[in-house]
Amino acid sequence: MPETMPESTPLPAAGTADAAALRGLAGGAVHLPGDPLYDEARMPWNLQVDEHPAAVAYPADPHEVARIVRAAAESGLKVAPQGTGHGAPPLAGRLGDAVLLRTSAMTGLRVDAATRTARAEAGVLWGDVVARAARVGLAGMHMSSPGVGVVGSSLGGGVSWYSRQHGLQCSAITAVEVVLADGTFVRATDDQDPELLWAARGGTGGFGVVTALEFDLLPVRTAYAGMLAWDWRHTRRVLTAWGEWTADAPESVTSVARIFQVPDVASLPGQLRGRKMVMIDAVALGDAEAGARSIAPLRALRPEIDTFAQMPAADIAHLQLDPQEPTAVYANSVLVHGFPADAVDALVAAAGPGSGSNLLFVELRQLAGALARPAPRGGALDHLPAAFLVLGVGLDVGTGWGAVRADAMRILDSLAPWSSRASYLSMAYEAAARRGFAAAAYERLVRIRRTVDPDGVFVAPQAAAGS
Amino acid sequence: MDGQPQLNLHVLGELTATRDGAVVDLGGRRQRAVLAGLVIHRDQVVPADRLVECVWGEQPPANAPGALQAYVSHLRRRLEPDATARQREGVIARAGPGYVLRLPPDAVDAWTFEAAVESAAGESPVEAACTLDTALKAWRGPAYADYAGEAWVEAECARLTELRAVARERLLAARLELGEAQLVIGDLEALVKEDPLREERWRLLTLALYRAHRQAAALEALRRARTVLADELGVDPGPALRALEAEVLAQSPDLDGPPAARAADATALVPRPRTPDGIVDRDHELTLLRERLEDLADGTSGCVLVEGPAGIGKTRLLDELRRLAVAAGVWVRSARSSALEQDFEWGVVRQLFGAGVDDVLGRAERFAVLRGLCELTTRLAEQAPFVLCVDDVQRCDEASLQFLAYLVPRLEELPVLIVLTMRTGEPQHADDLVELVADETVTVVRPAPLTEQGTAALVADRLGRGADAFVATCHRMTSGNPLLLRQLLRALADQGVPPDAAHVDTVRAVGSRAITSLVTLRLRRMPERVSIVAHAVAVLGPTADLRSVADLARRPEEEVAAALDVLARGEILRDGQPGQPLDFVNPLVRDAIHADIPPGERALLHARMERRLKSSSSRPAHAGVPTP
Repeated sequence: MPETMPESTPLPAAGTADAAALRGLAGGAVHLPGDPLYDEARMPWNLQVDEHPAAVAYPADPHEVARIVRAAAESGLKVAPQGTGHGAPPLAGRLGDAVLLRTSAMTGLRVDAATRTARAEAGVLWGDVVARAARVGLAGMHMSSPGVGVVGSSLGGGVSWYSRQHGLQCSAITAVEVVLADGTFVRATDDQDPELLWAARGGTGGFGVVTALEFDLLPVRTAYAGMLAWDWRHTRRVLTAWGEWTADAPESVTSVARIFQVPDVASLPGQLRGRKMVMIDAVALGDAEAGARSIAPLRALRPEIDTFAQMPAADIAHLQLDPQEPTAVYANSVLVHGFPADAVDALVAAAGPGSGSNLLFVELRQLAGALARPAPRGGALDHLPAAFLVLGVGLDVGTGWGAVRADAMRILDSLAPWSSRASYLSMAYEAAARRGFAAAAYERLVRIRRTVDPDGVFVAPQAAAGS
Repeated sequence: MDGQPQLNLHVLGELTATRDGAVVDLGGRRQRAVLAGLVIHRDQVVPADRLVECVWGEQPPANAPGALQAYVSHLRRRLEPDATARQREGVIARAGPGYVLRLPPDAVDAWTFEAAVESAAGESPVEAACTLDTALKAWRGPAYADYAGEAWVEAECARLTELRAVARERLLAARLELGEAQLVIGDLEALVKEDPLREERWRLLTLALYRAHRQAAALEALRRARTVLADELGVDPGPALRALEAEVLAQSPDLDGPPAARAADATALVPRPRTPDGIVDRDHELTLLRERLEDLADGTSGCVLVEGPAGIGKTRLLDELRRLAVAAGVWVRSARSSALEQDFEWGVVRQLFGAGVDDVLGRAERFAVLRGLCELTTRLAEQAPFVLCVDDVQRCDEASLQFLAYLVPRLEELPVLIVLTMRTGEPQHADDLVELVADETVTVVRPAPLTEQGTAALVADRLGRGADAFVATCHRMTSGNPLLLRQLLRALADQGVPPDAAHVDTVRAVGSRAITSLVTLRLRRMPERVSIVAHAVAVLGPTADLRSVADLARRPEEEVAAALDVLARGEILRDGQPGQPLDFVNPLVRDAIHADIPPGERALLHARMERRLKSSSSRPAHAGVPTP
């Protein structure tokens, strides 16, 4: 063997050579650029994000996570934890020198009926929790899509169908298990490492690889839930009436109004397919009688479709018909204080009939109730200071992502007079991290991150703390 | 012979006997052991030295045969006091090298019990409940209670205990069918508590609770079952429990059918044997093998080589061929080459022909041996056509390989079908193998990777109908390798992952692992009493059987048998036929598990293995000890 390298040997490209140290870890579940399954492994749920990380690893337990983190740090690489990749967009452009550490192999889930709690590892999806909890008459504060990961969505806050009564999902977290930058494993609770638990409650992560969460479940077996739908020429009438109705709606009811340009795909109900609709989805905790009373004013608007019924909690996770398979989407959102008639006009002009908007849907989520009050347990994000979250979601319909983004920005701009200074980072990928938190909370998050990850090994999912 | 006194023996409890209802004094413990030894073997002749073992164990006194005769003679006098000494061979008869018990089937309580359980399986719930209730009352304590823990009664005790457990389950099942749901809940709770790993008990309890209009409690019972199975065995509930769960959740009307309509269904409660997993995408290969078997029946020889990479399903094809052959009444001689035995001359030939081949192998010249083996093959084929299977021929010992290469061109019109499997991607140095593969009479079959449709079929079989994106990802991650796919699906099933589009990345995550780490990871998540059994099988290699594994792992055979079942169900061990040696689903899996044994445990197992080999010279054919 020659002592020195022949001159003709090219220097290894940055990143790729370093990641070679990871090969063989995680039982072989490490993919480097050029490996046959690299392209498969690097794709997040949101296919709009097309990153080429230095390596993709799928560790199956905290030991394997720790070895990946140590090997990455020793190789001068960063680590970006990712579950399903629903929230991948903020990572775009930041993974070239990072190991994408995907948590999907950690699928352990325990539901304890007696204490009404769950322990979900980082690869568990909300659909898994909902199905398991329903067997013992419990429900989790799941997101609108059952395919979203529990850990990622909980770290980011978590607005659920039950949130107006029970607050953010992150406030239900009672323990977090995390592998830190030096490879140590910590289980943080209110008594042990409470700062990490505080950061886990809505701080969006970025302080380590969260391998599992423990959180409270709700004793909910059934709820009165369903969808009302009208042709979208009724958008103004329906949204105006809905806006007024929300002011007096009880906290047991959570609703979402949508302008939905329904794609013509076989997985959707025939009566919706290919049509443009305005819809209201809602979940009312309690019995059918009370639920029907609550939504009576909306029914008075004479919807074309009415699917409301008392349904098992497990079915509520599928209420919104979100696509389950990986999809390329663009999303952006704004928090607003109110939704008066002027705001309805502005929104309809930006996204309704005649607007020229091609967005898949524009969604107005009803907040307030418990969401507006600081959670007793506290946390980096302990409430949402707004009345509605307005979310625009678009697919590339052939006009390019620039046009999709422009459609979404038009909505955000149209609602500027009512918008809050704050952003809900889980759905506002372009917002500055500082806007996701109260000022003191943000400073505290930055301090915690600097303490546990002084060398900045982790790529923060939302650039929440100082990057 | 009217008026003959009625003699009854009782072994479901302590060993006792009655004559016309009066208790018979059977003498001391050793003397009674002779009778117990005869009862266990029912109407089989028991050699005297076997009885000696029952009485004295491994260290009999010098005069054991004489003492045994004395015990037999005393027993005869007690059992048939009215007969003269010469006539007293009615109950304990001398036969060949030993003795045999001559009693009607209803004279021994264990025999009656067994017959009752069998007959109840075909009866209506009313009759079955009555039959089983009566039968269970015969039990007065653990079977052969006086000899509990002694090796010679262990297997029979275990068998009877299992039979009793089944009988108790079926009694409650029958009462449940008779509409006694509320009444049997307490008994079922007790049964579950006794043995929470028997899924049938959870099934009945759930059904009883549901029929007693306690749906929440029924679901809670299922949840408890799931937890127990997960904690104790690391497995999910079986299909019966899972199906019941779905029915309870759906409030299926099937659950509460009128008792009268279900009367004929009692046999459905008998646990059904698992059906072997479907082979997919192998129509062409199976057709060819079937045709060759038909040719063989017509007296035509053949040689088929199944060739492909690890895990493509070569051994499964061989298994299927064996099954077809046995079904057609054709003899099959099988051998499996292994790296451990590759240096052992004539290892594969010995596996194929057994001890009868020793004379031939003893000949001085290699050529004489080859000719002798050929003649032996001819002689056997002239008696009846047969199939000769060698699995993993790339690891065959050099001498046996030479025989195969010598035999194939000389088969001519002999009714012999030779089927070999060969793993590609391994260095092959042996000229004989090259020659064999190149022989023009050899048909080479190369099983292709599974298609996406085949993948979908296996996904549906394991996890339920899979979403397109889920199936496509399974297919891409495994490149259509059936072994990898099966292990992937097994791991996903272990974790309760549903086959929907949302779990695509779970498939990527699990499917990214090397097959070996997939298996070792799953094994590490199983309880220690299962993993140690897998470790022992890995250390023993081709010599592994129930007894040797139990010996090496220092665990009771029942426990080992249960663990082996878990391992086979989990597709870590092959689901072999009874009598076949234990083996992993693939040699790679064996190597990986062997490498994953914690160092201390491995040293211990190997030390025991070597002691075992030293103390027994019974298996010189398997002298190889895998190196740690």
